[in-house]
Amino acid sequence: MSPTLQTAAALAIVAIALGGLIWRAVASRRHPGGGCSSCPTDRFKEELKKRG
Amino acid sequence: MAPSHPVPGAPRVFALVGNPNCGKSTLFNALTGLKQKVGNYPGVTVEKKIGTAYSQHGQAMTVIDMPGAYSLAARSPDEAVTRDVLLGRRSDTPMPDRIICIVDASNLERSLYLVHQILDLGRPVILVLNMMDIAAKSGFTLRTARLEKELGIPVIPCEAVNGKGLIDLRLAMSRPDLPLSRHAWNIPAAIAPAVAELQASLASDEKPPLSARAEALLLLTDQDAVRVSGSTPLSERTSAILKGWQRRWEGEGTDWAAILVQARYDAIGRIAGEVVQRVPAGPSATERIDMLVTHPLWGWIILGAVMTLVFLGIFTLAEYPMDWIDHRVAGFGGWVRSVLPAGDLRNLLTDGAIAGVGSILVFLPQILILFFFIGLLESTGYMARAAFIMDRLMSRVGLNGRSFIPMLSSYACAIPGIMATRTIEDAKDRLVTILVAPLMSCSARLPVYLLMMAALVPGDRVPLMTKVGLMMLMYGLGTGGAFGFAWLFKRTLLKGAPSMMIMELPPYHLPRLRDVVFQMAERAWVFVRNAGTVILAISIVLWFLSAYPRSPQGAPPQEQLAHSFAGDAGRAMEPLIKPLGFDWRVGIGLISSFAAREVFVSSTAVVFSVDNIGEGKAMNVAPLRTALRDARWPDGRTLFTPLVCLCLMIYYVFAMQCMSTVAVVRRETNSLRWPLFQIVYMTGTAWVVTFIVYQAGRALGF
Repeated sequence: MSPTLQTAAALAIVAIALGGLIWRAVASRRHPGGGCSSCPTDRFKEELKKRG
Repeated sequence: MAPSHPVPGAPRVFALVGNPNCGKSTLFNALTGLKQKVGNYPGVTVEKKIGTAYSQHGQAMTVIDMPGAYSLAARSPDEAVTRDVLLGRRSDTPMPDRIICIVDASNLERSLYLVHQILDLGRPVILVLNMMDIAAKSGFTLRTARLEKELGIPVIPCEAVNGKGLIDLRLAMSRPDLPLSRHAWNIPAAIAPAVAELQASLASDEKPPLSARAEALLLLTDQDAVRVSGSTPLSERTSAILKGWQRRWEGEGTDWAAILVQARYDAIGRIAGEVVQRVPAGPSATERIDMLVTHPLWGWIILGAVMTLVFLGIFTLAEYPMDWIDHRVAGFGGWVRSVLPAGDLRNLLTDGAIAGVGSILVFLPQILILFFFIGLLESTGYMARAAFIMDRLMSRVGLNGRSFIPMLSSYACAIPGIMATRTIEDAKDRLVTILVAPLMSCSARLPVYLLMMAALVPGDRVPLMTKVGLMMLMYGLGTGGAFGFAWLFKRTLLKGAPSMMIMELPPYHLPRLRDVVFQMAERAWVFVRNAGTVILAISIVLWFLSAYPRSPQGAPPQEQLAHSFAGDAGRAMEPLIKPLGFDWRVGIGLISSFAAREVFVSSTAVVFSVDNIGEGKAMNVAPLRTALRDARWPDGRTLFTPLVCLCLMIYYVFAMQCMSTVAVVRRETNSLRWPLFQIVYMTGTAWVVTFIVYQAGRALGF
């Protein structure tokens, strides 16, 4: 894999990661909580959404 | 009274209502299959939870788990939500067609107060007598058939924790023709005209007649004292009638609320007298244990011993699994480094993703053990005793033990702890508790403390008791800080008299290991999932910020890092943190911690991995603690001295560094002012205390 291709792949991964963080930040404005690894809040909200 | 029938085709909506600690959450889980925490103290089910149960014919039934309430005359936001849903005051929640009241069978007379109010609502009710096994052990015999006859509703004996009685309950829920209660009680003559007038006014607001009567009685009992957001307000006409009668009674000196409450208790007493038989017994096992556990001296000693054992367990039991994870992560990083050619992609994977995620995954065993012990203590009933003991201390700072429950939850995570403050009746007490709860050292701080302890002492091993002592010091500092600020706030910003606490100590249970292990597995999954998503993403972005913009070819790695985006941000804040003994690389970690505290570990791993490239130190991914010990200031001085490690831990005890907590505080206080104040006072305190400790330490030659 050439260095140029490696750089392109790395930057693409960075863009995806940044996009995911921004999306999560926007989504969490409606349902705050769940940033830290120990918080159960996200899971409860997901379960409630699934069950309607 | 004619039985009510559900509208064909519409799913029935059941409200599950009961006192706190009556097993409501357990019953909800059993009916709907949604697993929840089973706690023995108030505040566990703060949110409304909606699930689906199925009738004997397979029809879906909606079950709403209401917050625990002792009475519909609300004294807290929790109870106000329960009241409002049952009265149909909330447009966001359907008024339940039917109500399941669950009571603790060993405390029937007290529990019947809420049931008695609910019977007035004029909707079909099923009464579940839970904890029948405990009632039997306490010497109680309940004449269930007699109770059914008195109240005119189905009464189901149950042991929700063992699954007994659930089939009978489902059958009762499936009945299309549940009867309305036949129970009648005498409203005192002095109050009757007011009830009639209020009922007529509420009925003209399109309330069903029986519901209007029940609401009239409630208005006269609680004077509509507690209102929460989302609740439909009273009409002006109804408010005017209520105020008119209040003025009249105040003029006559009539305590109408007490008259109503007493009349209700008289009716309940008569029922209980006919239904409950008790064989006199000596002190139960719970009472005998509590003589020791809640003793003014022994209680504290036992609490200290329990906490010591918990921390000892965290350190001793986790050692081998942590080493195993450490080796696997290092091996994986080495393998990636060997298969990919040198370049950005390889660096991103090894120094970003693997270093970042691996450095946090290594703490998974310790997090699990912490939650195992918390779950065990909750499951046995000991946590309620801890709150009882703490009440003596809480009252000295102007709070009561009810505030300790959210603070205790905050040892795991401040977010559910802050939400648990909804059970605190006094608004000022609630706000003070919200402001100080994040000072309790949450489990996200644990990786930071553990990393600093590993880097603290030169040589391979930190003595076990040193670790335990340091850990208890950090937890003690956080708890002491919380108490100190609570005292300050109650005397300055949020002055108010201490409120009383009445608290139930539930009987001791053998721990339900299945629930504890399930809870632990839940936490493990959340931890790993967050590590694999949020922390992975942050580590990748941080790697980019540490690696770009590129320095000229041939520049040493330290120069690359120093002039990267992350380096620029860290160097911009270095003047602020240098007096605390921290450099710009630590500054990068402090900034990234605002996403979640444990990200400090991952970001430090990324920063120091990037820093070590090209020096021949990172053919494999270097263990982070070694990298920290080797870190130097530009003049060659050691960066992470024992004093600096201690200062970093102290900083993390006090600083407000969790965006999610800030968001929840904003929601719970419905303002921007309080979360901003919280960031300022906590981070300011962190800076000042750390500054004092560092400068004093340097002056003393450390």
